[in-house]
Amino acid sequence: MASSSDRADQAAGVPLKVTYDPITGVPPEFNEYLPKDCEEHKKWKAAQAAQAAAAEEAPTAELQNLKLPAEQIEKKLPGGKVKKKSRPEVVLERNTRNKKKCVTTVLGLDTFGVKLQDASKLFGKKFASGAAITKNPMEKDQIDVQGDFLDQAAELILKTYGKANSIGKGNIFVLESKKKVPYFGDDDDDDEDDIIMT
Amino acid sequence: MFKKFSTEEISTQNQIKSSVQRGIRAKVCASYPFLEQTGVIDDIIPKKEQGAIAKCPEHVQVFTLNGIPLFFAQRDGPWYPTLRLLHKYPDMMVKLRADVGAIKFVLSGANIMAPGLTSAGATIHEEAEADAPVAIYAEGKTHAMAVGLTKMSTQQMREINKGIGVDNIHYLNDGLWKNKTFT
Repeated sequence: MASSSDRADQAAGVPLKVTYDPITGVPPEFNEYLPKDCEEHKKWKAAQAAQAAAAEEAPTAELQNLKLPAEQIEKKLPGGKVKKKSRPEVVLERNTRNKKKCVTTVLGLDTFGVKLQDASKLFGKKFASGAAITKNPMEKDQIDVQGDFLDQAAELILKTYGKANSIGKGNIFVLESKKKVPYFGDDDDDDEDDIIMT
Repeated sequence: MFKKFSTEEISTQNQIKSSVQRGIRAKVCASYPFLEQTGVIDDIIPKKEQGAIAKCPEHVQVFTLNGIPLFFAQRDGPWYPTLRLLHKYPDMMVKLRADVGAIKFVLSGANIMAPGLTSAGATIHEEAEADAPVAIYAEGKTHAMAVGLTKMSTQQMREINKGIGVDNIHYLNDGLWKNKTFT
């Protein structure tokens, strides 16, 4: 309810501060009315259920303790899969088209907080070729660079974003015959050769 | 209007001429006299700052300032504030309050039917003409849940009490709500 003090502020032209629910992003009072099939509602429901479960487990525990079990449950349930997914990585791929032309795709730069727009511009400039942001079938944004710049791109990424966005050598992968291979392997040459041969 | 909307659907986003911005400002002031009376308009659209217009499908234009969408309009229609802006200045628009039963439909994008605004739980705070932009509130809730365009005057709503009372233009958690900033 808007109290009278709110109204007084309003008259003076001061913007009202509305708190939004951290999960759903709408004022908390509307949480339960969100359409049942939307993402936000599901997340909210899940959070509610987790909180209820936690409350049952430790009814006397304080708020901080309440949060802990909920987080643990979340981590355990999905298993190792989530862990892998959550680890950000850059995947490079070389696609051939028209037999002698290549497209190099760079996927996952955004997971490091790199602005794709800037990155694609940089690629385009550095390689003097077309570079565009496209969506791959999995609805993820990637950068397409015209031409074969796989090795150069890997080094460029390390050089420009390595320190600023903490992309290490271990984060860069290459897709070769549908297998993800770390670009900078431990025994660099042997590793890659092996896979190419098989 | 914004049920399915994302920043990718913006075809162009351009800085606008100051004269155009003045025009928008004048129109906004005309539709929402509260803003001018209290001088709030200068906080929302400072004269010095230059906004941009994002063009979206269905002839929708969104006026943004520093990437934050503030007002939008369809074709030559009235300028509506975004809900985030409306939440800050709840008194800027004519208020209608729908009953509890209507909330979930409104949040799914449904238009507001006249009975939902005239029933016991609902209140018509201020009278409105037909084709006027209004804020839709909900029974027992503080904040606005939608912005709409009346299809009939509040007088007619009471008399006819049937059919669509307010067109739902922009509601909580629709596409425009989810995109807090335009890049």
